[in-house]
Amino acid sequence: VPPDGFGILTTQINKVLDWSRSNSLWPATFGLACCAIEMMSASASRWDISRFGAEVFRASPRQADLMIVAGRLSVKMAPVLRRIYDQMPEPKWVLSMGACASCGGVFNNYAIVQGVDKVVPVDVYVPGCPPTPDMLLNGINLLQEKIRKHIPNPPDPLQFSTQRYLGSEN
Amino acid sequence: MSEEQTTEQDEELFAPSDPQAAATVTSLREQFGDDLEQVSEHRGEVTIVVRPESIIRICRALREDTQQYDFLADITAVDWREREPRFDVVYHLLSLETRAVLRLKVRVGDEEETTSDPELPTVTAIWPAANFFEREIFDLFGIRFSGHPNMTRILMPSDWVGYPLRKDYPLTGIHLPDPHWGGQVPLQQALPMGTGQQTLRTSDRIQEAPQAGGPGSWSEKKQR
Repeated sequence: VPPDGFGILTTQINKVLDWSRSNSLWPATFGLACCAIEMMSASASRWDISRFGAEVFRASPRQADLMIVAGRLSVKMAPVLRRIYDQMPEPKWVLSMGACASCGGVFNNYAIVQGVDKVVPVDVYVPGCPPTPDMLLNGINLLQEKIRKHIPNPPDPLQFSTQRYLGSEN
Repeated sequence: MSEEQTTEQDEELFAPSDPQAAATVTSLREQFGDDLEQVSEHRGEVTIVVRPESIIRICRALREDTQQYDFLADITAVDWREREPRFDVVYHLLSLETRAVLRLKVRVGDEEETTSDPELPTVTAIWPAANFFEREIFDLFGIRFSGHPNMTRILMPSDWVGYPLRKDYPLTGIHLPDPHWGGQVPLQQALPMGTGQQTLRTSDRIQEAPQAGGPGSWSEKKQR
């Protein structure tokens, strides 16, 4: 029996589940800024994100398990993004695409959230301004690797916060 | 925008070089002699500084009378910070009939502008296009337009505190430790001018981070 208390059968099933989850990441259709153009390119025929099973962009967060935050997040938009994240069923992952989503980028001002990891837990950061579709695919590959290794999500920055609920009411 | 470069002269003598603009200025002087504070021209563009009390009458005259400035291209504002009437509100007018353009300026904000917002009558009754422009100026500069049908914020979140395009507004806010994302926190009282909403945070936001595999993470281990 493995030390975590799971039986050998459960462990093997978990591996299969992780493998299947990693190969059918369904992103939410959600673009914030110019990075979304590159995200669209990545899903088009030249880069063809469907080679990695992530081509099914879902219009409803209820059916998605990957949120690609493509672009800078304004403070006004942050509650909306948080609500979309909350509506996604678990397990779910967040990929921060580009410099603005990762750290605010060139927009170091009052209106832009300085990194979306202040709003949602981010699994993979993709650098670039904007990242090329190749870099986004690389980020998705890294996320697949993370899922297969069963690495948990980072802690939710607003998990026990009243901010989360205050924000989504506005 | 820089007033130093204008060829401003004595207003009784000065006439713009463009004949259409000169006719406009002449007719305005006949109707509102004392209300025109200054007439200037810079690179062929005519600017008329008018008194705040008469902006409505002058705009109505420009719209409805002979000049036919029927297109309000823009309203914007400038914060001159140290100047005594602190703000300029700038109206850009265009006549679709004659292709003439005109710039009107109003200087507002002469009293204690740190505690009370300057006020100006709205021109939405004359040009409906002024609606969103004036809301934007209120949102970013804090100049209120009395009589406006919907004087609310248009760009910033509705509960934002402060006016971001004023010169004394902190560009990035005060640095605060994580987690902090600048969300809208309901306020009990108004903050002093220059304090951004993003600088606010509630103390109950910092909590212990959940452990990997613990409650809250998707890899939480369940008891069988």
